[in-house]
Amino acid sequence: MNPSSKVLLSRRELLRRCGCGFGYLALTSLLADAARTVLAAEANPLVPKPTHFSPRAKRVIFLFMHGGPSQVDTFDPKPLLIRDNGKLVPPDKTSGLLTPNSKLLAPHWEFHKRGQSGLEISDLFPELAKRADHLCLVRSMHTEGQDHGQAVLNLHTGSGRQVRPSMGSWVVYGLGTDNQNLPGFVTISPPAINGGPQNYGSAFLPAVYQGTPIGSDNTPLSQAQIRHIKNPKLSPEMQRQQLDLLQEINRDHLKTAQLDSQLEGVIESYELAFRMQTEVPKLTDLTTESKATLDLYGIGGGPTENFGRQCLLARRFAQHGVRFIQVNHAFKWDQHQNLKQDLERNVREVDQPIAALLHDLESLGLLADTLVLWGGEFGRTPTAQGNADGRDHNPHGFTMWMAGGGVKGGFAYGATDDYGYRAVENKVHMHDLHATLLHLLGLDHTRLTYRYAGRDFRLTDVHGNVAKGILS
Amino acid sequence: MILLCLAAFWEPSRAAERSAASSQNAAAGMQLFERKIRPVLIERCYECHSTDAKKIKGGLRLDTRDAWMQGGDGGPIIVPGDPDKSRLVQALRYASEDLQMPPKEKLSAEQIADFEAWVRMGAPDPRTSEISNLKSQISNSQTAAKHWAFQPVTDHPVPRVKDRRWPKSPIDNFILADLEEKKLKPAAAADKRTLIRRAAFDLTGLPPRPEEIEAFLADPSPEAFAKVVERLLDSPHFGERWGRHWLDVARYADSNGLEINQPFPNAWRYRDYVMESFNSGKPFDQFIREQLAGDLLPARNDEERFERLTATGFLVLGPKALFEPNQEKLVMDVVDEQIDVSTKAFLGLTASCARCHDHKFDPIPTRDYYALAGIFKSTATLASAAGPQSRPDAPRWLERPLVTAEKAKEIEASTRELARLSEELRVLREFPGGVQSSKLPGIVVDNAAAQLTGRWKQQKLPVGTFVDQDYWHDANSDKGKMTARFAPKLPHTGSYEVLIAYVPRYDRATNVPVAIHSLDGPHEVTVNQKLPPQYRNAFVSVGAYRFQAGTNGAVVISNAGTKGFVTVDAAIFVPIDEWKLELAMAEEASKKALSQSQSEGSAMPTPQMSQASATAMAEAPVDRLSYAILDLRAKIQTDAATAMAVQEGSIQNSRINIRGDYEKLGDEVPRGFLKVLVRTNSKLASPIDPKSSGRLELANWIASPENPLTARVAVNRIWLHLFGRGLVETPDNFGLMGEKPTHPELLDYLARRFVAEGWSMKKMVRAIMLTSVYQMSSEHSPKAYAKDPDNRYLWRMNRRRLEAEALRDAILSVSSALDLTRGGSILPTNNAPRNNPMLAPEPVASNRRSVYLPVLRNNVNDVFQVFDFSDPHAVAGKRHITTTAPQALFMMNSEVMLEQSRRWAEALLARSASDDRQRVSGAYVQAFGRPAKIEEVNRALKFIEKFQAGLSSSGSTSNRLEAWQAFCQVLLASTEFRYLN
Repeated sequence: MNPSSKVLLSRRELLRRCGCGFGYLALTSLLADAARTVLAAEANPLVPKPTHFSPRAKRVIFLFMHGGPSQVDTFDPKPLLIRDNGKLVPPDKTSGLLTPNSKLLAPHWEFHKRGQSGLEISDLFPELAKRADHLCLVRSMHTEGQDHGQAVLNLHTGSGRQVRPSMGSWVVYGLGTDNQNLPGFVTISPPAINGGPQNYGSAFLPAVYQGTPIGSDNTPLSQAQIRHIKNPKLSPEMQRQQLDLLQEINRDHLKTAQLDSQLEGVIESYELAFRMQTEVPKLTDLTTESKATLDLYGIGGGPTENFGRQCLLARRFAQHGVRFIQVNHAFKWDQHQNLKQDLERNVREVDQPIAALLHDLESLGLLADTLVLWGGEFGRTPTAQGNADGRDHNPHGFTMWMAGGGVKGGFAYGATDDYGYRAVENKVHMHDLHATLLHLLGLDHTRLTYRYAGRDFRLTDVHGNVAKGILS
Repeated sequence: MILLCLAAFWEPSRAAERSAASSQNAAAGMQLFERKIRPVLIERCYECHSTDAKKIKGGLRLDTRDAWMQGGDGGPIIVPGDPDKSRLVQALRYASEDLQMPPKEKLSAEQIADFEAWVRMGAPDPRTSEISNLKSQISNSQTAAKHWAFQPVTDHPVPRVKDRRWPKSPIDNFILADLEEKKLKPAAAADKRTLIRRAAFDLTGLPPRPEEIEAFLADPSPEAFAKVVERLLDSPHFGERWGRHWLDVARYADSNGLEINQPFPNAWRYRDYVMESFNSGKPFDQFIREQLAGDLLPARNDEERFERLTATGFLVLGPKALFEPNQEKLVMDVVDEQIDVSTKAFLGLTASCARCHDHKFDPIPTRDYYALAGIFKSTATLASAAGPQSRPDAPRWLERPLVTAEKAKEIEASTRELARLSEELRVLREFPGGVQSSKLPGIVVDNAAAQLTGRWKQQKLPVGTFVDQDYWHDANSDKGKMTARFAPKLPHTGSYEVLIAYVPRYDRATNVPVAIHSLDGPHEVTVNQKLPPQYRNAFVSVGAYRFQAGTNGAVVISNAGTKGFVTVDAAIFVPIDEWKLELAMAEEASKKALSQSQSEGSAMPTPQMSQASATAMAEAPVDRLSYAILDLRAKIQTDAATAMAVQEGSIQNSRINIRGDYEKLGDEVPRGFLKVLVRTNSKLASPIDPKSSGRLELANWIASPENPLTARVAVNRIWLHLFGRGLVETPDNFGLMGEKPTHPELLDYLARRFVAEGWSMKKMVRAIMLTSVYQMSSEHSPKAYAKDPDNRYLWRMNRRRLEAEALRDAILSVSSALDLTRGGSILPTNNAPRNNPMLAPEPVASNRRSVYLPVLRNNVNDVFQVFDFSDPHAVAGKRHITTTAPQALFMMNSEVMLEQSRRWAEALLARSASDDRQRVSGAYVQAFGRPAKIEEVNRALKFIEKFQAGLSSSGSTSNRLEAWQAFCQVLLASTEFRYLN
């Protein structure tokens, strides 16, 4: 499949394909009928689309740790770093990367073998460590951008310098989405900095593919909602009355026009919007969950409250057919100082909810076809910054992990050098991660293209190799 | 020997003349090649670097001699005879991080040595078979150059048509000829109401007012529509509407975007320039020249000079990676953005594709890209001047002053004055009393260190002269109950002059008792605090006394037996020798001051002291001074206007960046233009002055009537905005991957006419609107639809959606909230939230027309974001048209909709002369440009009644308003409102 060729086919088709945002009600009931799916695809750009090959995962939950978590304190054990704590970095390791006078800083936490796989994870993440057999650690990540802005954009869009569609929008463009009453791509509590909306924007892809933000990283999720999802004044009944008049007038207009897919699209968009108004609040209302579930995620006060809500909401979106779900942990992972204290604080907030999410997905049978991805825009240096208990940015080597659909569990892929500074073995560039992610979803990253300004664009630009070693 | 051998390979014809020895060496070389080199090439390199490779990497083939001689994307890889200079050898050696071949595993040391020896021998290679399609572009470029858009614009005879009555203009002939050929019939003419609504939105982005509709309906003359068009073209709103179209192309924004989203406080000047250019009827070729090289054009006066400087903001407005630490990379990215915007906007070409490799489709080789890059590299766009940013080393864009010589002098004076006032304020803030204890002689005991009895009151207003932060007074009460003891810590025993400080005024006590406790025993004097103190305007001496070292001595001031306020401020104990010196110096200084004031004959305040400053001194100092400073700052800001603009930089050619990498440099390319366009027309090959960037030459080259693209691209944009689709459907891409024109001859006709009529945009707009094709209705025809569902041949008018701006402006216009103020900026100067440059500035709420709402990258206004406003980071000649649920949610629930529909409902209900039926009908005219039909009125009233009843049982007037509001919102949300028929 090459979606771009379809989009270019004709103006009529273009208009009809763009005929309706998140899809439309009239068609949702037809989706089960495979024969009619083709028809629907013509009209609605968000109906599920065939993959290039058989997918290993159907949806993505990306847990974004904004700021750049330290790899040597968490998932990348380095005995030499512990041995040489406080020493200057040997000159052969400093080439072009470190200031010569940096001192190595050993992790504050001990590493232990975990689970049946014996995957080494530090004591910092006690709950997650119990799920080690699910985790596929990629210890040889590297990326571009010494600054947060560039690296964050690189992570989300594959380019820190040009404005490109975000990976979520590429995924929805390539695959459509299962539930036409919900957005295909949501981002929970996204940050406003480091590119902000660009990180879930659609750039030159049609706007239907952009991410729908829920709240922001500086408001508690319990107070967040999708924009304009509720009429502040009217009851649903009164609003339906109003909508009935509107649709009558619209249909009159359509009757004069006789045939116009745009006008039909607008009429349908109102029905869908009205439906969403009931569907979305139901979905975001976590009070219907059992106490046991809330406890599992740590909802009910305490440091896990907010991230627990985010993770549980992500699970609910996953259950309801949302294709790409991003969960953002606030810009708290930038440990230039107070490394020990602040990392412990962060982990207190996220460790239990993440472990709960993995467990919950598994018990619901969703983990097998959900790809969970965890990580930040880059890692951190194995050296201390100044005399502080802190580490600087490091795009040259860091760890991200995946779990679920299509990846080996209890497995570590690639390696950094002796001190955990540079990726050296089975290196996985951010472009490679994107290629791998698309591959797991059944898409060939070289074939998922969109024609814009005379060129076929890809998420991976002209780069990207699938990290085959991690596929289960 | 080696040299000879080398020559033999490179110049075969002369090789024959060489000695036999060289051919022997050649034979040895061949042997080496066959035994050691070829097998490794096949085994380790061909997978990616041969004709059979699945994908040839780096554009490099190693399977024929010619292929490697030509090299890959990075140019030649072997320098025969010199292994160290051959990139092939460097790659095999794994010498650098970036180039390591073969990528998976290094060759053995022995194999690498073989390659080195082979290269040293001149790299003999018998594989001479012909190079095939490796550089497909090169052979392609011959065909590509024949692409229609690169051919000169030609005259086409106006086609003959069967229906002679339909065409109003030759434009119609071109359209009708095609329709007739396709056996399609044009739709009937649109009715007058439809037509005026269409024209009003198309030309001004605003709905027609009811009285304008009436006037048009009442005008039976055949020129009625022409008059409407004329009126609308003359409206200042024309520039607001069409200027905005251009701003899409110019990727206009009021903030930088990307990760450092700094506001552009002066971008609005460029926006106003664009709107004014459209309104004033500026020829488009001049518009081009000004935007690319306005700074280099002669100007008749300051105003014109400023206008032209402002125009070059076009080149500065792009998003820049301002955090990029590598200056060269940043510069090349800025250059790339400028090439991208300039070639897309004016030429409809995607030249920036050729940054890393020859353009894959269009005949634009990398060399041409770097010829253009040299022009922009020689142009200064960035400034490294310090600005209000978190990282002082982050470069900013260039802003150039728009200041006349006179103003410049004024600014200079104001700036000096500002510095002086600021210093005054600083001192005042720090030492409100004007005397610093640290600058006093002797041992100082300020009132802060005094031991107090009674309830002294603090005074710190900067009125009068006092020491350090404050002084005390007794509030003229509790007489006899207050004392203040000033006890110094004296360094040595000896004689000290004792002085006390107070703040004199008319209401002070005249007999303040001051007791001095010294080795000489207690001694009391009285001080008249009405008199101004002599020493430094603060102190009066109470005599010289002997004190022991340490803390035994003291001065005690009391309010016993006084009438009037008693103030205490400080006491100083000056060793007697020091005091004598001090007195002598003071005398000297006062003499000097006296003679100076006599020679200048001056009076206070001093002449250079401004009025504001004088007032500030006379009255409430800190506040006055602060206001004076604010006023002065504002004045300087207004006087010292700057615009985002470029200037000539250091003139240089660019070297090719291999694969777009600024660190891998290839050949230097002389500054120049796109060869494919030069080739098709020799007149376009104007040379570049070696002392200039070449920007002016580039501007002239683009704005030339001979350029086959410029006029075509421009008229196509105009057509696009009047029909919803261009004759070429890809307005920013006229290259091989762009769409072909649906009406190529018409496109050429329009381009010709455009140039012939002085590149006048208004004339072109008028010409297109006064045609039958523009004035057709959008009605459906099943027959025509079956043949041409996309309406490519224009058998009817396209039904078009109002864009974000027109939709918002129409809503505000109907509700009478729209503020039609023109020009200027509403971006707050401090619109950089919490000084965090990574955060997007906040959208600005305003009822101004949409074009004046600041366009903040990464934080585009709600309405814009929802309704397909183009991402302002990049050129967008055409907007997406999507219909989404968030749009519906916006129409149903947003504050904008609720507020405006309420406002409109209030206005309707306030029409006391109307009844409800008339109100409904009037609302229809406002929203749709037509009165409501009877059944529509009935339906509306029924709805209002039922809705009102449903709200609650109270039946109050607010329910009536809410019901009307609900109805008004329906009209604004309806497709008839949101679309143009």
